[in-house]
Amino acid sequence: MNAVKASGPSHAPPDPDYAEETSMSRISQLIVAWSGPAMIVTFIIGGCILARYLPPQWSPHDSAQRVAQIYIDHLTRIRVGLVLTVIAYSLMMVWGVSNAVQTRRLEGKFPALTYLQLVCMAAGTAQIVVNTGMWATAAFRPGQVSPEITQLANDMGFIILLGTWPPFTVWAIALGLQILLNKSSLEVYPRWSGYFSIWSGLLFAPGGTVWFFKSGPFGWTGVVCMYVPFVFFGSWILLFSVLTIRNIRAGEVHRQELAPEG
Amino acid sequence: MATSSTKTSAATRVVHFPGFLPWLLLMVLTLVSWWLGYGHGLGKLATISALILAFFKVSVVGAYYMELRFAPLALKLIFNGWVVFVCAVLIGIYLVVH
Amino acid sequence: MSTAPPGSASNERVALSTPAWRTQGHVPGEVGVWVFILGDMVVFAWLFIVFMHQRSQHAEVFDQARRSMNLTFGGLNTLLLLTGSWFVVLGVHALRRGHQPAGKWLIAGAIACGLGFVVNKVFEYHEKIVVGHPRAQADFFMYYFVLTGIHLFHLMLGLIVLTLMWRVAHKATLGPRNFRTLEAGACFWHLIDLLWLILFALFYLTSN
Repeated sequence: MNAVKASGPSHAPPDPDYAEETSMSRISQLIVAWSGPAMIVTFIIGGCILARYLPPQWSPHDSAQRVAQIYIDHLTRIRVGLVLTVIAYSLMMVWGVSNAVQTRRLEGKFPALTYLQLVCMAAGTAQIVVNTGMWATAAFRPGQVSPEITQLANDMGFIILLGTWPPFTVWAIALGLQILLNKSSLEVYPRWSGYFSIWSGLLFAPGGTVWFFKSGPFGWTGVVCMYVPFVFFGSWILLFSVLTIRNIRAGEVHRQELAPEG
Repeated sequence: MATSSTKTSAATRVVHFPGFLPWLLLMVLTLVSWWLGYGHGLGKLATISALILAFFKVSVVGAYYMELRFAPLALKLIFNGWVVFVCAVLIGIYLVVH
Repeated sequence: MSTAPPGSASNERVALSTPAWRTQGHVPGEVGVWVFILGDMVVFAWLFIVFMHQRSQHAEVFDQARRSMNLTFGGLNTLLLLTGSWFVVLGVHALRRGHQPAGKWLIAGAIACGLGFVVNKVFEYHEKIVVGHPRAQADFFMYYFVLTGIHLFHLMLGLIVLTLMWRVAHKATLGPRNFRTLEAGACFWHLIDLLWLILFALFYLTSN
């Protein structure tokens, strides 16, 4: 409508709303939101099918020899799987931004809970990317070094992956709180998803039992320690990907509303 | 506040506090369960009673404290369904091995 | 309200219009909090069942371990939580009738009960860890510490929720949204109470 003319003086200032509406925000939000499902698919191929960390092919009470032997026997598959795993894990922070952008619309100039989400997803991504590096280290020279060293690196991977649950829990709770504390009439995400986010965050915490137990339901092969956090993490990602993409497609890209209703 | 006459004793007022009777019931049942915890030669019956009492107490907490009495039927059914199901499964597993 | 049990709201003078929570079909708090509460109940139920199943496979050692448990700690904690829950019920009722000071004090009382539970638990854990236990009983205590630990974690969150409710109780006027918060928070606290009722039975009262 108010297209800036290439030459000659403009007769009217550019319309800021037009600029905002046709900006790349909608597309960029969609891209980051879709990285959630992309992350899950990549992780399943890399972490589950190829590298086989979930379900884990090592048990916490395996001998060092056995741990090293598995690395030796399946070296290439594990290495390729780890590359895909680290890519998947890196997509996590990309996806996380999509929720933060949506909830940012509920906060004013100094959005504490949005900042909290961002720092938590950054910390969380750093942790799990590094722990993938631990596994890659184990897969670097199995057989050439003492099996205990291979076992150490392998252990570190699981212990860091599951044991460092707090940033993820804080992240999910921050997101949940933003939804529930919202007093305006703009409902960015439905209230039940706020409760679900807080509940999911709490269910990442059982991963902390990985530091204490080597068998049963609480070691890293255990249902409570490994599967509960992962299942809820995956469900949480899928749920919010769906809700965010729905929002963006409905045009809810920029609309802010800070005033409490009535 | 209820316009009760000054002759009403404190005890009567407490009885009329919301949730008093459920609380009293729950406390008494807890003491009974506590007593059952010492076995007293009742063997498996003590445990089964303790479990049933525990889940009954859960049901009372739901109905009177969480005010599920006034909740939609679906919610009441789900909640109490959980109570009955989990209680039955736990007692079932407990009995099967012995 | 002829179906109301004795000792309940029927004796009280209430507002002219029947409040929402009295008519059949009111979801306490809001639907979303029940997603959370029921979900948690399902997860805990599954943990209870896993424990009981494990117990059935090693009934002797589990029973021996149970005998070393201090019933007083468990019983006292149960009474504390039940009383704290009652205080929450009383507190919310008081706030519904506009009795703010009573409401605030009762919620504070519930927080005190919760803190009492935490102190009790700390003593109990400490004693267990210091005294130690035979290797054979390791499984029982693994379940004990993890399950009651997760419960304790929930309780600490519950204390935060109660504190939020206490702050809401300070507001000059309470609207429907505030009551939604109060009811939802109360239900979460009652969830913590009811989960403990079962934990008490499983770890302290289940014998052979």
